[in-house]
Amino acid sequence: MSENLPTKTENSLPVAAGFGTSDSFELLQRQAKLLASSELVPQAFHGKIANCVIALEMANRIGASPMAVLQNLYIVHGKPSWSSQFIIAALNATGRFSPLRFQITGEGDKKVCVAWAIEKATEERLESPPVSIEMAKTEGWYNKNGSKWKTMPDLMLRYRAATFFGRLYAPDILMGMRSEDEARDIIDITPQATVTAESIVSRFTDPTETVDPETGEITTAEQGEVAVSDGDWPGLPGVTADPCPECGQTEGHSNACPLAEPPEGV
Amino acid sequence: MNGNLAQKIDLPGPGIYANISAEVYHKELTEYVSKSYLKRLDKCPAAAKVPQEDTPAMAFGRACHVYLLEGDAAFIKECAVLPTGINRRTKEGKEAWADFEAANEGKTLVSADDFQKIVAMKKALNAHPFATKLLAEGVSEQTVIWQDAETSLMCKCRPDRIPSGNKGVLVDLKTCSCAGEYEFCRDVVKYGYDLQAAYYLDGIREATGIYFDAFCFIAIEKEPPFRTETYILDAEFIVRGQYEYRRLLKIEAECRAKGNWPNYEGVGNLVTLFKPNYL
Repeated sequence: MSENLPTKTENSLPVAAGFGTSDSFELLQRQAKLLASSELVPQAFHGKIANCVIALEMANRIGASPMAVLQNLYIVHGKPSWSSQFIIAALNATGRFSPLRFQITGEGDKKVCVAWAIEKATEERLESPPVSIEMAKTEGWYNKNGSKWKTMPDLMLRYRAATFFGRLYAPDILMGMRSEDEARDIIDITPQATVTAESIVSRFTDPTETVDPETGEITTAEQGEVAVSDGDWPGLPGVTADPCPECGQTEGHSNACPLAEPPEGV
Repeated sequence: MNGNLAQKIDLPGPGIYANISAEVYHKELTEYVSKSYLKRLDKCPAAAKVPQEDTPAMAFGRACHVYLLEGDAAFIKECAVLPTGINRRTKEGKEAWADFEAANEGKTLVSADDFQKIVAMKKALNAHPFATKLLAEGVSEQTVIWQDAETSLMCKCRPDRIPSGNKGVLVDLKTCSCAGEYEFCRDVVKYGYDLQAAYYLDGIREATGIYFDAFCFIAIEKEPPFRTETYILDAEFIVRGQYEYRRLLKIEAECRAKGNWPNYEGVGNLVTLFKPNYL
């Protein structure tokens, strides 16, 4: 009798997690839910099922373990990016190239790093575009606050060269993403990007709110405001200038009056 | 070259100055690059060097700014309303006119009709909820001077209003024929307000080291009902403005190096005109 009953295993195909069918999506969500509930996943994924779904999909796409992706995926300025170590590891794991090597030449600003590997299929030597300290300086990576280029230039040269190598020869691994350190280096230079009409209106509604001079963050000011200091200018020869409110002189100092109090509110 | 000149006649260095009058700003600080200079340079380098004539529209704009931003006292000091009822064809009329001109030499003259409009504009401005907040407390008539790092050119600007309270905001008053979004956006492109916003924000940051990140426009119509609106530009607009002013500063630096402001663009090549899409 049991022969006549359809068994479950006969009819259902093995389901792979993914976006393809409702079953596979169901499985993907269950996996993501489990990962999100773990305390061992990084903060960006803890309790965030949607983020875990994306990480799982990426792991699936590049054939890496989900945990490796979770540990090496960083959110920098709102965008996902890989750690540089992960890029190097993933390149080595593809089996398409010999392990990535680095060639350093020159000294000081002229120190140049090229990442290279032998492509197994063609036995050709593949090289990344050269990365130099000079380049880091002109690109503005070097002089950023807390830049690792100043403290660990050799490591950064290798990381950046590896990222460039990956972008050119294994774009499928990088999936159009930047390395984490690269994403920190290359941020939009326009702080205006964060300004919205709402944020400006709020600056005028709550008088205690001010904008942080360094980061542009809006914070609640506790002490007196740092406002525009009005400098003083003695004027052109033959042009009368108003006397300096601090010392009464109409000439003698070309910028802030030495007798002036620390700048007050305008 | 600039550095030497600045030393020779003691021009002001980078900073923000409260005691430079509009006249000195426009007539004496000619060595400094302003937004309107760059905008003229955009036509062709020679255009930047053409002396600027004072047009009635410019006088009206100036009177508006003084009355709307600085108030009655400043208006009386800097502007004069033309008396009505003077017949300049009669002898008495001519005398009265000469007296008026003598008494108000150097002031910006506005007709009685225009003055009425300016008063009405102020009323309209005061009725706008956010514009009044923008102009509530702050300083006008500040001259900002900085040195552009890339080209070493000395630059200047004069923000209409710097609201007090460290808000990171500059305010600019714009008279226009239509203050609607679409129309004002066209004005932004036509008159290079995006360039101005980027130039002023970068300039004041450079000069003071204080973070300014927003440039608010108060657009006010010149005709009844004097519609008034407040606007900011989105990030892409500001980036475009930044790109434009940087490009123009480089052109100016090149012209100064060569001592020549040609009446053509670039190197004077033969250029192909492409049929525009709207034809």
